[in-house]
Amino acid sequence: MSTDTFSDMPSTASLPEELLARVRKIRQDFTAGLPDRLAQIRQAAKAVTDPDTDATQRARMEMARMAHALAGSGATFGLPELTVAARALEGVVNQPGGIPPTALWEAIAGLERSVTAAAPPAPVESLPTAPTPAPHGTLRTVYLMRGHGEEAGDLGEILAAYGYEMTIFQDAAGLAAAAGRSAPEAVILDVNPHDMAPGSAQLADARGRKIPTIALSSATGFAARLAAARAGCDAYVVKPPDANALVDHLDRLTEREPDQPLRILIVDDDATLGAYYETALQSAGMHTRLVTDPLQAVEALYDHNADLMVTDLIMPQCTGFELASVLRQYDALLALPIVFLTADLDAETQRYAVRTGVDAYLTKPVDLGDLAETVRARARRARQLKALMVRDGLTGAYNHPMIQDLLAAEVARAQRDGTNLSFAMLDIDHFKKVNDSYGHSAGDRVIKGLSRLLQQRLRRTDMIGRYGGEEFAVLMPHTNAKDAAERLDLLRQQFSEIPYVHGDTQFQVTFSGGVVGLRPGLDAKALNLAADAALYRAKNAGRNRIELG
Amino acid sequence: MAEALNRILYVDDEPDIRAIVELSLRHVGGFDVRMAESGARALELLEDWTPQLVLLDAMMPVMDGPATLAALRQRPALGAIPVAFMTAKSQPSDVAWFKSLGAVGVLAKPFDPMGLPDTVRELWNGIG
Repeated sequence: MSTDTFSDMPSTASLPEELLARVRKIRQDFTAGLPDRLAQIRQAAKAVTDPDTDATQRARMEMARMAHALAGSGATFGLPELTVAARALEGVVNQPGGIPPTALWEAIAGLERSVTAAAPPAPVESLPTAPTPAPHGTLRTVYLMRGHGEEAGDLGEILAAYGYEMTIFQDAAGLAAAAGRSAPEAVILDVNPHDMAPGSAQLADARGRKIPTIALSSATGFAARLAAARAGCDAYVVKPPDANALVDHLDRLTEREPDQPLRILIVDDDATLGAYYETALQSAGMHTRLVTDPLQAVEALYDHNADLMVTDLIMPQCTGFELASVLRQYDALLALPIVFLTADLDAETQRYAVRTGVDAYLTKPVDLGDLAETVRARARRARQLKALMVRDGLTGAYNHPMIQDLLAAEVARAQRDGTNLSFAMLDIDHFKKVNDSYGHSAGDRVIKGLSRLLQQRLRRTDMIGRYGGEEFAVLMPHTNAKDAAERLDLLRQQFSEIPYVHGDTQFQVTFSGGVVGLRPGLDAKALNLAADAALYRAKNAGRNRIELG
Repeated sequence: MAEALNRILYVDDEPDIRAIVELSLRHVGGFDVRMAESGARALELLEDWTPQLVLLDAMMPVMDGPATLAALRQRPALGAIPVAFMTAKSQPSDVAWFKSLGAVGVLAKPFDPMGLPDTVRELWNGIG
């Protein structure tokens, strides 16, 4: 069994505690990476015993390299057994001629034993991990528990259109058993709230993380809402449920990570510490870049397109405060959130920090969990703010000026690369009637509903803009007009089937669209006009249809 | 050499090793040490910073230690900087081969991070 070699060594006795802590952390990082390296070695070993081919040779060299690296590092990190075992493996792999499989696997087993003895899994587990993002196109699971005499109706179909897969359970025991096997992203409780015991809706998955719950009830009064809140429900939706309201809650409660990982720049003159912070943020799913010279920060911020900067306070070239002041001289960096790492924070420093626009401080030694959480929350908010400037407030789609810019850029790109590009204008049919009959909030819900359907059902590379009112524009790169029209026609059909609830009545809405593909001689403006003309033809031909322009 | 050793460039593709070497040479040894993760990066760094000693990991992907040494020797301004290899191959025959390439020394891996600064100083004093 390995012990902490560094603190055992007489020479380390005089080291300050801070250094010792760093040594321990570097060693932890090393041991945490061992299972991965071992997996790679096992992978290569499978190929090595195959008949002799080029791939076998490559795998053999790769394995020799990995074993060699472990032999050269094990004892440095206090794991002499690892060095011995890795050397043995290196010897087996480097012997001339074929590798005897038994000797190979015995050597790997030996390596495995030395790694198991060395690597407690704890340090890896304790790092904050990113929620597993649902692969694009897969449905997120939602469990629905239905009380006696309640009807789920077509809720499942509606939720499926928004990317949720609903499974229905008749009783709490069945739901709990299923949740134990595979935790859903959320639970909807279609149960009379007065039948719920306090705390009974507080569900957790196998790892102890809370599963959000939504109460679905026909009761509208305060007492029922209070009972649901006491049971532990996170949201309350009145029956019959409005699909948009329900999906809004589900989206909010099962909030997904932003599609693109957050990008963080770390500025620290100490590369050891910087790399250590990088590891923590990367484990939390972020993309990081480290500069050890603050003078390179501006360039790196642009280059990395960073959402946030983490900086050390005391650096030889300039202080973190000075760096912040310089950054604020650039218009594009005015809103950049900055997180400071500082050994001690007196009141004066704090005032200074506020003046120079520092968003948060963390005191050293920095807790990795705090770092990841602080950075994540602020970077995400900064990204949301950035998005506000180019996005429409109601729907989250790009606003009119932005989608025009994107159209011009995509047209230029498609012409340069000789690729396809389709552009579509969509308009909700008889929208004025919706507003007049059901009020503006109902109208807003319809607009949001269409926007959400477009955002969830189109590809990530497609761009959706709200042109204004009930009109949307869609840009589909690498797509010819015919395919684009087919895709949008499918969405047209799905949209027309979504029921909107207003008081006791239910209504459905349709949209029309005009699609045009980029052709030689067309520019952005001409494309826009052609799509508009096609949309008019669709309207004149009876609405609820897609026309090719 | 009369001059005391201060500036060291360390080149290694393994981040864990770089971290421990940096800690060892900078914090324990008190050297002004800089890190490069590849031979190419090392050559870049050397354009505006001249260390007194370069420590090269022998086995690196793409451009290994000997290749980096050869590239370094092709630049007149850098030709005189002493270079030593850090390697897990430290059999006498390996050492002889590395020295034949023009290395001033060979430091064995794995190493004791607390003892590394002394080992490096010994090597430096031996050059003079």
